Amino acid sequence: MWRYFLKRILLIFPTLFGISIITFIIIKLAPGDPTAFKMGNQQSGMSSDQNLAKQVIEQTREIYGLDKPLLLNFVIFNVEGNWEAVQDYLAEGQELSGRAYDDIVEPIKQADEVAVPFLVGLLESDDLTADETTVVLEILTIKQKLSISVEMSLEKQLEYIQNWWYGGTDSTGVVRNAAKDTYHFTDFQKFKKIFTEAQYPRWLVNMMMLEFGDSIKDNRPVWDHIKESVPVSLIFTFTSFILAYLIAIPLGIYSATHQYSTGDKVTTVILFILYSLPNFWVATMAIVFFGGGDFWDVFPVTGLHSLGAEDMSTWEYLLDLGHHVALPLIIWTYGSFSALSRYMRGSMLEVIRQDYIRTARAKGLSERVVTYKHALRNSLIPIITMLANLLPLAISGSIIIESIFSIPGMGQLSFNAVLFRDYPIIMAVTTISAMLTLSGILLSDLLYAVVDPRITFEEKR
Amino acid sequence: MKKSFLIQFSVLILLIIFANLGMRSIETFDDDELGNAGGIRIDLTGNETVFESSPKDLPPREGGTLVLAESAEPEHLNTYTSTSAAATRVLDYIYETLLDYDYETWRYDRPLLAESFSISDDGYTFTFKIRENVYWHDGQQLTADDVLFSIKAVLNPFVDCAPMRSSFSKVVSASTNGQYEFIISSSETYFRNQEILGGFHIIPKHIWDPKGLLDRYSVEDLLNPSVTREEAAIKEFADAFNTHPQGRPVGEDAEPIIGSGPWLFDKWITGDYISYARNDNYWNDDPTYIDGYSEDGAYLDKVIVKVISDATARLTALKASEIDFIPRMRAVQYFTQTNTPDFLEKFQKVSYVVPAYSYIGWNNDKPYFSDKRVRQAMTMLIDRDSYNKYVAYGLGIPTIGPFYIYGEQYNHNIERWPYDPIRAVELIEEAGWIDHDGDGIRDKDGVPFNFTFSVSAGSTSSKYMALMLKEDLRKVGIVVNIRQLEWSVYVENLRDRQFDVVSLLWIGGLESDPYQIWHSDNIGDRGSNYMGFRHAEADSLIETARFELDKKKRNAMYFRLQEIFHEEQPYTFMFYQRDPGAYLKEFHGVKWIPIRPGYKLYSWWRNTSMAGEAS
Amino acid sequence: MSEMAPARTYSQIVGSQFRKNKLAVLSLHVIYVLLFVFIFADFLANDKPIVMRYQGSTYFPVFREYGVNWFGLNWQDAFKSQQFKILEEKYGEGDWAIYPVIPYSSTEYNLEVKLQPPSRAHIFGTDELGRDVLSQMIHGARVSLLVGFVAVAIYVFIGVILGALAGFYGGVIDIVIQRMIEIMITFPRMFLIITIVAVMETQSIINIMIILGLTGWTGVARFTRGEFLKVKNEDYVVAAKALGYRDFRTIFRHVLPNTLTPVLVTATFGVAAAILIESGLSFLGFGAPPEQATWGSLLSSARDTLPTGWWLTTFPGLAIFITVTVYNLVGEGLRDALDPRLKQ
Repeated sequence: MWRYFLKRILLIFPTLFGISIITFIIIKLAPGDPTAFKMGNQQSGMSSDQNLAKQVIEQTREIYGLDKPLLLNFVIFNVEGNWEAVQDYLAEGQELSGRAYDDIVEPIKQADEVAVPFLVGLLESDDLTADETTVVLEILTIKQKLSISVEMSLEKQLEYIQNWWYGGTDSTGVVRNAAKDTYHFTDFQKFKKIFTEAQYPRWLVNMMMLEFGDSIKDNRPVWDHIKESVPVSLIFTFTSFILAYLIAIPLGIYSATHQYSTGDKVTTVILFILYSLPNFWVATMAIVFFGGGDFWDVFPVTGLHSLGAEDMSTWEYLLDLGHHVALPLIIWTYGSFSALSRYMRGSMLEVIRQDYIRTARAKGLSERVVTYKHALRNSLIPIITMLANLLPLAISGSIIIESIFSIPGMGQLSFNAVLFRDYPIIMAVTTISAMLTLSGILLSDLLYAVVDPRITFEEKR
Repeated sequence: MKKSFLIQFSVLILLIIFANLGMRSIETFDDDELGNAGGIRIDLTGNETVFESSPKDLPPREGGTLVLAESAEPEHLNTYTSTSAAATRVLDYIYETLLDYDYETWRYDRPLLAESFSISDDGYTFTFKIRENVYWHDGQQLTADDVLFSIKAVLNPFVDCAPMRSSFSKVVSASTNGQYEFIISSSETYFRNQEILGGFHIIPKHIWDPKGLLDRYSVEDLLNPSVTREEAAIKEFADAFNTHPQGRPVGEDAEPIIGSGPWLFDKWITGDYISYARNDNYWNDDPTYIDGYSEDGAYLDKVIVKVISDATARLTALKASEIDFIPRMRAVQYFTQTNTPDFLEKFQKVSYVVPAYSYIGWNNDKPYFSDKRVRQAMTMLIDRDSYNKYVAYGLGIPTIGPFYIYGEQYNHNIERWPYDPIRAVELIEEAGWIDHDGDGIRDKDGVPFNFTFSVSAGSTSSKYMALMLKEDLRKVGIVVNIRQLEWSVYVENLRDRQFDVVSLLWIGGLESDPYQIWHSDNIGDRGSNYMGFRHAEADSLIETARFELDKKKRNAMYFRLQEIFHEEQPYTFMFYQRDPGAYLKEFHGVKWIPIRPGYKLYSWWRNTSMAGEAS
Repeated sequence: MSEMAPARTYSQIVGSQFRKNKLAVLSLHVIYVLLFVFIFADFLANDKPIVMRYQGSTYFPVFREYGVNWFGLNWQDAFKSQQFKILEEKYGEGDWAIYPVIPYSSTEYNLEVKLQPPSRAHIFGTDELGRDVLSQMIHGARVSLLVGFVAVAIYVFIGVILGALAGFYGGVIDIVIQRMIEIMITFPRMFLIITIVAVMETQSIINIMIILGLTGWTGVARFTRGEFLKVKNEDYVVAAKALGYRDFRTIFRHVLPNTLTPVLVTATFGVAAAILIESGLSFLGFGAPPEQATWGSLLSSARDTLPTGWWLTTFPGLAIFITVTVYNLVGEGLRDALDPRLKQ
């Protein structure tokens, strides 16, 4: 059995790798990118002082390394092939803008510096069509940040390139070195670029050093964000889990041992009512009725602390925290009662009908002993499976409740990260929650084996 | 199961009979005029430039705290790299600019950090004389070096402020002359130069670049890619700048932001609040601004901006006195949930105009909307007045063009397109959209009139607009599909022009340049002409007007431009926005101004004695 | 030791057991009513007449609508604009129309009667655009129920099969399926849904059902697997093996009924959960397309008008509550009735 668990622990690593790579691909393939929020947001609208021309967006993407290929950068070895694709595209007389155009030009842009000598060579070869020249100039301008503007005449642009490439004096009369010399790459350098100039390998290397990078949204380390939000969500997840177990398990046992009694029926109905109320609706009702609007002023409705909480004594601080937490906590918890106690009731009922319980009863053991010593132990198995969810839940938070009550927890953090396409945060949250989930599953299997001796993990056949 | 269904079926038949026997009268309740629901409506038309909504009979007194609630938190507080309105709202109190709006004329020509400024005769060069008595919050003096440093930071190509930098793309040189003179030149005599070159926040050099990394480089160097590519120090500075702790002073122990403004940054607790305190050593002791509109520091001791994302929670917190002021609430809250005598007794409701308009944009390159007659017809098919009255509670101000409705650029001589479905259908048929194949859907050249209305998720008003349009157009044989997209996808589709119809809110200024949105140069990759509006005359008007420094001549061109917009209807211009808000009546000196966010807290003060009387 | 009973007798026993539970039977009838509403929604609430006599001919507009939507028929020329109520003004001698009980469609708006409390004309009141709430609820029942059913059907199917395979065979199959479960659990579900909603060309409720189905099966799979691990060594399974039954038969005929208990509870809760998740998605703006009323979207859009528009939240809330309750009661009844140990 210990061999089995060792194997399971080792299996965590490939799974983790698989999860991270799948997540990475999916979030990158999802449409939309972080630059969208530079253009305002849906509530306040688009702002006129944010001119997001293509060049601006590409600059921003480059700052965050979003312009690189996803997995491995092989485009640097196929610049000519990619150029032919562009030529074919242009030969069809397609437009020089739009998504199709971007897609076809992208590989050359991704090759970045490596493509430059080839592109300059093209410009010098003189057999380019007008469109092709425009494309080459555009790629060079954007990726090498040349100060060529579209208003310049073609001759001027070519002259600029000439000066830049071979050196000479620029418009202000300053002598510039030839750019040509800085664009030599050995094969080894190119080979290294396969990995260093690609997004996933970059991320993976950093992740192995537990370095999740900086958030795109505000440039703060992802760790700082997580360190801020995890404790907040932990307050809720742990308290609510404890509450739910403390209330739901006894209720479940009661219902099972008193099946079909009035008490059972009443609990059932109450739990169903609780379960069937959508939490966002209950939360709003609670805010309206208990938040001191037009009705009762019982609970504060926003955040975790009163203003000036930092000056309070520890006791006052905790009291204040409790006051703020109470309402969201109730709403966080009430829905999980029913599921949990139903599971408990279900598995308890099943165990009670088992032969060995009947045997125990027949032996003359008291009902209490039968229930709590024999039946309870075995009916806890499904509950244990749920316990495994505890770990990942600790960092998942609740998007809906957190946003209604303005609680800065993990739910809000990850939801906002998804909306913003803040890739470093998404990746960090997924990876950490993956680790916790995997450990949780392992733990629950281990507990299975402890609680139910019938379970073996020896391989069949 | 069979029996059960049989019973239900007969019950249904019976119900149908009863329902049809009984009179089916639809009682329409004519909404009596909503009015202002007990609030004050502030329009700032004509010569009224600042509106005070609180009683004016008391002398201001210092002290007190204001707690206000915003829906969103700034992404960070680096003044150049942040782009959200939430960040600007905070930073405008901490940093200052060379020039500012004149609160009487609302022109951008009041010297603030500058003592005076002059423009060279050719219009290319601006010289700012910096005040000699300005000190940063940490006691250091503000000099022309700080100004030069600020513009260098903006122009550094590795600093993550590309959107802002694009406004400065025509700057060719900048320098200082002595400690108090700053000279900057542009390659164009653009009419908004004054607003741009005098309108960026000045940041302290000794805080942001203590090592003096940028000292070695001139503005020309920073504009030259062969220099910026080779010099590692430029990149090093930018990396440090993008992640500078001043830009994200989060937590209890963070170093405060150092600015020169009338408020001192206090602290920012993520997801909770941002606070700032009065700067008692504010440099500006000259009380010669508009009567009562004091900028010599401020009266309030402290301002706390709480972040409450949920609208219901926000209003509840106000009612429970957890906060004192909500700048924006939902229209339905303003008109139906805040009308109790208690509320009106304790709070003052106001609705104020902000320079932002909503529109429905038709992608001019799609077959459905390439004909201007169809676009005109679409405008006439939208019952804008009913929408305004019933859905927006009358908060919108109908507009015909993109310019600020109470500004000098707005052409008031143009008559709005009426709501006229009959004429609209005629136009659509003239344009060739007729139901040829008899399937109930209009078509032309084999293309059915079946388009998609993209709605940004979470925007209730555009969702309602789309739903109404779908229902109305179905009746005239046009199919509308509604597609709800999250913002980042919505914007990407907009940029790639992968949409038929969008509905958006556009935030402008008091004076704006239509080049970015309406010039045909800006179709495709280079600008924000997402609708693909092409019009030769409009193009030439826009081009000439940009460099016309004579305001009269320029505005004449813009008047003509609005006529073209009116005729072409690339957008259906909907409404200028009035934001509804409410504040505790204890506050006095509450003034409303036409620029965003519509209020400035300098003049607010708290009458604490009133609270004593009340309780 | 229990003895295998023939399948026919088994289902009869289940039936009679179930009928003993009065509450469950009653709930089943409520589900019938919901099903009825589900099927005949267009005849219950519609702005088109069921039968009408117009200028000497008789028409069946509601039926015609099915023809138009599904069989490529066209509307008659007189009804091209589908505005039957305006047509009434043109009625001549002998023209009449019989309307459904609620003569409003779920999308038909009338700004002049917006936010009306329940009245004779609008039994459950109207919403912010003046749409009839009852009509929206009837059409919303379709969507909400469909989401629940289809999503749960998909995930119970996937979950039971994978869980059973993993639990029964163990070994490599178990390891592979466990990895699948792990990856699935770890994946941020909300992100997946948002991503897929963004990728899809058209926003549709079917996407939501499939996504909920494809992401929800892990719980069922792990339960089934767990139960299989427990049952695997019970005497009757060992006996079945000893009798030389093929694996497939062993799994599905003899072990599965024993493990269905928690799965059925999961499934009944699952239908309700899917309805609730859909409402949460509507709250976040990623649910059904805006023109499609669902109970969840009704509730979430009614949030803005609280506390004034009580009728906007009360009725959809009640609908969700009743539905969830009856599903659970029926599930409970079935659970008891299916229990193989009860047969003796």
